[in-house]
Order: sequence, then structure tokens, then C-alpha cells
Amino acid sequence: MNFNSNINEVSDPSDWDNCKLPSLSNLDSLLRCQICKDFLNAPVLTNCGHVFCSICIRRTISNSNKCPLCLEETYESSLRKVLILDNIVKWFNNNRNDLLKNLSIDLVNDSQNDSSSDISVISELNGNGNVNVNGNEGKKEKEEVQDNLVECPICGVFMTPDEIQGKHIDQCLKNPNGSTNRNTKRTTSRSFFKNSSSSDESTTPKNTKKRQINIQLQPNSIKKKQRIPNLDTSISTNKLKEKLNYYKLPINGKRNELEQRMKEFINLYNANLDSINPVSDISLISKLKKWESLINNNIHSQNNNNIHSDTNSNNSSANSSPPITFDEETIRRHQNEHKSWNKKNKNHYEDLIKIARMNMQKQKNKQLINNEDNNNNNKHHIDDDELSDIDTELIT
Amino acid sequence: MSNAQKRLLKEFKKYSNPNNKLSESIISLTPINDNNLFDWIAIINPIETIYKKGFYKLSIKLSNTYPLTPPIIKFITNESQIDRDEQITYQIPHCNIDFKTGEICLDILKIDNWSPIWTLEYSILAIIYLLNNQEPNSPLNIDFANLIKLNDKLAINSIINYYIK
Repeated sequence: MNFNSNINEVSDPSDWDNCKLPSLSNLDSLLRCQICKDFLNAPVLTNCGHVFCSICIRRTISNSNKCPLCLEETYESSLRKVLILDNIVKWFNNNRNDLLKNLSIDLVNDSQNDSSSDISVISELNGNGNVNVNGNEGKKEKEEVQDNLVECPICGVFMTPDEIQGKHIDQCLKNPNGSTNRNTKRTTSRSFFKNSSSSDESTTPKNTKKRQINIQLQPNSIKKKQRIPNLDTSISTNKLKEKLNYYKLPINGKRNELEQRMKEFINLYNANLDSINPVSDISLISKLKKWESLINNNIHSQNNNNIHSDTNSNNSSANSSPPITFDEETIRRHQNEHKSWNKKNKNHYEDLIKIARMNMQKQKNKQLINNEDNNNNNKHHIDDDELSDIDTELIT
Repeated sequence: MSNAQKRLLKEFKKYSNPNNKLSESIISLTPINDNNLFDWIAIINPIETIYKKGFYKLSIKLSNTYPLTPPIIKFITNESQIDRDEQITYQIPHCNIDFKTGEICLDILKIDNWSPIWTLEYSILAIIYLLNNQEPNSPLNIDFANLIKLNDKLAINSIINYYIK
């Protein structure tokens, strides 16, 4: 894989360096997860106040119960989702390319902007996430949020998400008229939004003031789902297989492979519950399979590089499938390989044997000269027989 | 693309950006070739340390579990004669660095103390910091650790400079 071709697919805060507002790179880096360095996906808050992607922090915690930023003890059960941040990141990510396009400056003016872009790079380097947000940038962030006035799902009044999140929603919910029909009203208003926003996108894509689905609500189906508790690694293999079967996961492989699979699925599943746009269980399973084949591929390619550098090159494609099982076919294939190898190099082996025999004889001759003993002649014959035995062994 | 590859690609993009200056001590930090993101080479010139006259080469090996597991970083001490660069010093006397293998004893590069938020650049900076903050109580180079314990500055400096090309 040549990764230079993929380099433009990944985004980086430095993309903003050559635009009219280079300080946007600070906002860009603030909205990123410090573990994967990508935009926050289903962000969760730890006890110590730090935010990471749900899947990233879950994977980290299953290794050691420490917050990566402050090394304070952190447990999976204390993670809380932050839906508003998920909204903000999604908006920023969706509008990032447009923003970059609109704020780009001609290359001629680059030299003028160099000094300011340097500053932003330095501040980013110093903090790497703990960037000092000065007043301007704070305002910038607020402005962007205020652009997205959202409709209260219950009474339909437009206001900022913060206001809805605060007192307003409680007041709306206490309203006796609303409480009886709350569920139906909510779903209808949401479906209305979905339709309106999608039609907006198709008809007037450049309408920047379009309304967006920015309600901090997850689909109802997600609320019914419960988190899978952490895997107890002391359970028997059969029970583990039962568990895997329950979630419709494959049950082949060794014990540690099963454990790994179950753990990763629990992480994926629980992280999915933190997302504002969760995906179905089926796509989680396909994600898990991809993850597993990537890990197995890596192990395979390493093994192939180290051990069978040339002999196995023909079979590398066949070996890339994840389960490593030595069934009869593979054993037979290996035996055939041995035979063909022996046939191919028969001449070489014979040459080697001849040379070895010559050397032996030379040594024996030396001994003969030294000792001048007739008995040695007999021994020499016996050695010759032994050699022919070795000869036949090597060929078969 | 796996998570590790994605993350390494991001780091590569960051380090190859001309606007983003790496620390002055890091001369270069790149993958060995265009096809493998799991094998990197760094060349350092640790100014502000007692090794400031030397240029050293580090090999960085990563696995598919990065950044959950730390990178494996070593000083290159056994380069074959053909690949040797005249500018580079291949021997480094330091009490936490194995003189023969170039192995580094640094707590944050061990899995228990590693944090996934750290990048390759931070790891290299940590190693440069280690150069000036030798820890003689957990040595890989016992002879040199004794010199550090005795605080024989003249001997320490002359040994370091003896090996620098």
C-alpha cells in the first residue's frame, strides 16, 4: 500500500493554515479526540472532565483504567455521553470543506499571512489539545453554535440549543397539555424535520441558513437498548460461545480470539449507544469483522515476511483468510510442497552430498596416511554406507 | 485502513507539513519507505544536552494496536557497513541505553505507563529529555551508571565525545 496517495484523505488542523482565518485550526483541534486525532465520534465525558470518542476511550480503558490525559482512574461505568458536542462536531465536519473553500486565499497572498499561520501552529504544538482559547476564538465557537437555532421538539419555538437544554425543556415538559401527547408529538416533529432538511439539501444546497436537525435526541429504539456489561474473563469457553451466539457473532477460533472478539464487540456496541446517529447491530457486526481481518492480516503479513519469505509467496493470498486451522487439505498441500521442493533441488542436494563425501574421504585419507593401518579401510566402507543412508533420507 | 494506519497517516501528514516545525533537536522523522507506515526512522541532534555534537539514528517500530500500545524505539547501533552514514554516531554511552543493542529503558515507553494521546514526536522528545536526565538506579549500561553516580563530569564528557564522529 502506498500511503502517499491517501494523504489527502485525512484531515488535519493545519489545513486551516493558509486560509483567511488561520485561528480556526484551534477550533479544529479542539473538536478532535486526543486518542485517534480524528473528529470526535460519539463523544463521552470522563469523571475528570475530559472528552474522547466513545470507542477510543473504551478500548483504552479495557487496557488500563486510566484517563489518557491526566492519568486519573477512570472506569467504563462513569462515562457519560455529550450529545450537544456530537451535534457541534457533526456540523463542523459537514461544513468543513465549504468553510475551507470560502475562506481560502489566493496563493499570491500567502506571504502576507505567513506570520499569523505560524502563531497558530505554535500554539497548537504547545498545547496539543490544551490550546489556550483566547477571547476571539471563544466567540467564534459561540457564533457558530448560534447559527444553528433549533426548534424545541415540544412547543416548536426556535432558540439556541443551550436554552432548550436549560430551563426551557423542563417547562415545556411540565405543561399538562404537552405531557399526554408528548411521544406522538415528538416523533411527528422529528420526522417533519428530517424531511424538510433532506429536501433542503437537495434543492438548495447553498442555502447556509437552512434548518438542521439539531435536537439532542437519539432515536427511541436506542433508549430501549441496554449496555452490555464488561466481559468476565473467568467464564467457561462454552458460556463465552453462548454469549457470542446470542449476539450473532462467529464462534470459531481459539479462546483468546473469542475473548478479543467479545470485548471489541462490547466496546463497539456500547460506543454506538453514545452516538446521536447510531447504526444497526448488523453494521456493527460487519465493522467487527473488518477489524478482526485487519488485525489477522497484519499478523499474517508479519509472519510471511519473517519465515516464508520466498517459498510461500504463491499461497499468501490463500492465507489471508482469518481462521488459522490446519485441516487435512493444508497438511497435504504442505507435504506436496515438500516433495516438489525436494524434486526441484535434487541436483543441488546430490552435489552437496558429493562434496560432503569428498571431504569425509579426504579426512579419512589423512588418517590413513597417519596411521597406515589396514583396519581403517573396513571402517571407511561402513562410513560410506552410512552416508548413502543419509542420502536417501534427504531425498525422501 | 485500520485505526493504527489512519492515526499514523495523520501524524505523517503533520510532520511533513513545512509550516509545522518539529523541535530543533529532531532532524527528521519519516517512515522508512512509502509502503510501510509501521516502520519509521528518526534522526536527532540533541542540542541542549551533553550529546549535542552527535547525530543519532533511532528506529521506530509500530504495531496494529498503536496508539493503545507504545511504539518500540531503539537507537540504531548495529547498522551494516554498507548502510552506515559518516555523519551518524552509532555508539551512545548512556546509563539507560544498552550500548550494544541500543535498547532504551524509559518508563513511558512501557505499556503500563504509555498513554495513547502521545505521538511519535512526543516519544522522541521524551528520549531526548532522557539523554540529559540519566537515571543510574535502573541502568542498562552499568559502567556508565557508575560514572554518573560518582558524578565524574570530566570522564563522562570525554567518553561521550570519544564516540562522536
